Amino acid sequence: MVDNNKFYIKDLNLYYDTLRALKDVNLQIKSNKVTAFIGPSGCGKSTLIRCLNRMNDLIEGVKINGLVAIDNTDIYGDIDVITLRTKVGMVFQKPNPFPMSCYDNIAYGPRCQGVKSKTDIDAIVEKSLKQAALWDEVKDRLNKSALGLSGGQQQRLCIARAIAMEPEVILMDEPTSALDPIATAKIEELIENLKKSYTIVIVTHSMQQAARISDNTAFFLSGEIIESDTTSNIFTNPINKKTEDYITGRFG
Amino acid sequence: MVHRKGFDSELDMLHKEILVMSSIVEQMLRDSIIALKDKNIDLAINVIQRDDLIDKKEIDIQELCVLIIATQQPVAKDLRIVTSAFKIISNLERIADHAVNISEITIKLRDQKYFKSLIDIPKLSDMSIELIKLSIDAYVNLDISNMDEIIQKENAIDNLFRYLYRELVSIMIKDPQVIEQASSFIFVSSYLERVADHGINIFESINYIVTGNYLDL
Repeated sequence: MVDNNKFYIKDLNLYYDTLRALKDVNLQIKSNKVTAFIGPSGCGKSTLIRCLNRMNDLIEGVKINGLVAIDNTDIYGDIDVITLRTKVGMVFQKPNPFPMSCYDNIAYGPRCQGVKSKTDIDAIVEKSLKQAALWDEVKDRLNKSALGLSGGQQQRLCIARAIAMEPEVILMDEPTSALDPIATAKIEELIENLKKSYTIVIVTHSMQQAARISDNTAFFLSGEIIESDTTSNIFTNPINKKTEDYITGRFG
Repeated sequence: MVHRKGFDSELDMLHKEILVMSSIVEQMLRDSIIALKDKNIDLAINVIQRDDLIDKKEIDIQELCVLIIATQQPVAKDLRIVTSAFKIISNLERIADHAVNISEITIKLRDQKYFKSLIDIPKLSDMSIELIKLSIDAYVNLDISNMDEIIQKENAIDNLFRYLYRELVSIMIKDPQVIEQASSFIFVSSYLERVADHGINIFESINYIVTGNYLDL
């Protein structure tokens, strides 16, 4: 199959015990594009994003059926989960730097992967921080605790930490909801730059953010994808009335 | 259902303001032709004066649109309503300009006896006004089901305009004495034909609001 899809999701259902949180989800996520998941709380968008690197495996009582394929490989089939998560990095709502130095935060992943050379690690740290647009702000305090950084800097550090593993995909679950507008703008600019090298999937509650930064948008409601299309179509001329009601703020 | 009360009342106000503007413009056009036909100079001057009101209305509505965009960040149909409003009012303003152009011709011809009584020009004017009304009707309820009627009306206007043009040119050939007046009547006809084109533009904007698709009639 020759296409530019990074993920191919077909007839995906997910149950938390008896609660059906995802209902027959079908979606293709394109490589090197930003795909936004929007929808009200509890609609399944975070559940789906967590399926993409099997984060839901850790939750008790979860049952999944259907297909989630990355580069045409079923991620719930014969695939090493560690390898999958190396390929598919994740950034969360609240910045969660490890309680260690900025340098060690970035070096942690590569070291776990067996990179030992100080020169190699130095290079990875510098490259990752530069890609995350944080290098200039932290290069003189690499050995100080990451917990002393501002919220926006911490979030970019988490992005740099994800980048250090050279993933192909970065999942972002509301990455700016805890940040001020300036830090948000920096992260959004970063996302725009990162999509040249990575496929990005972002969950966001901000309609304007989805409109600003994503190429494609999927709208979720009660575990279903109601509509997925290019972001420009979704925000200028959505086909489904429910999408229109939600994005225009007349949802209920 | 969550309602956006403030936002909805702003969109409602925008809708009403455009209807007010369109009714003023429609009356200006009607009066400009009455003034031309009856050589009513006072009425012609009055039409010209009303243009200031239209210019102000256009700015007021633009400001309202800008305010809505800045404060409410409309998307989807709401966005189409607001962006189309800019186009609709700019077309209405152009129609008002044509009413002014016609009134200026009335004033210019004030001391001349018309070489013929005006029958087809008022007819062309009535048809153009009807087309504007059809477009505005479509706007009132955002209902574009009268599209066929509008297309027919525009074709009829084009045909009458061409007929009028040919008739006035042949009169000028026969009697060069009337060239100034007849060419003024050609201008008037051409303004009325342009008015219909603006009416069509307005309808195209309404079609975009309703369907999200561009239409070129």
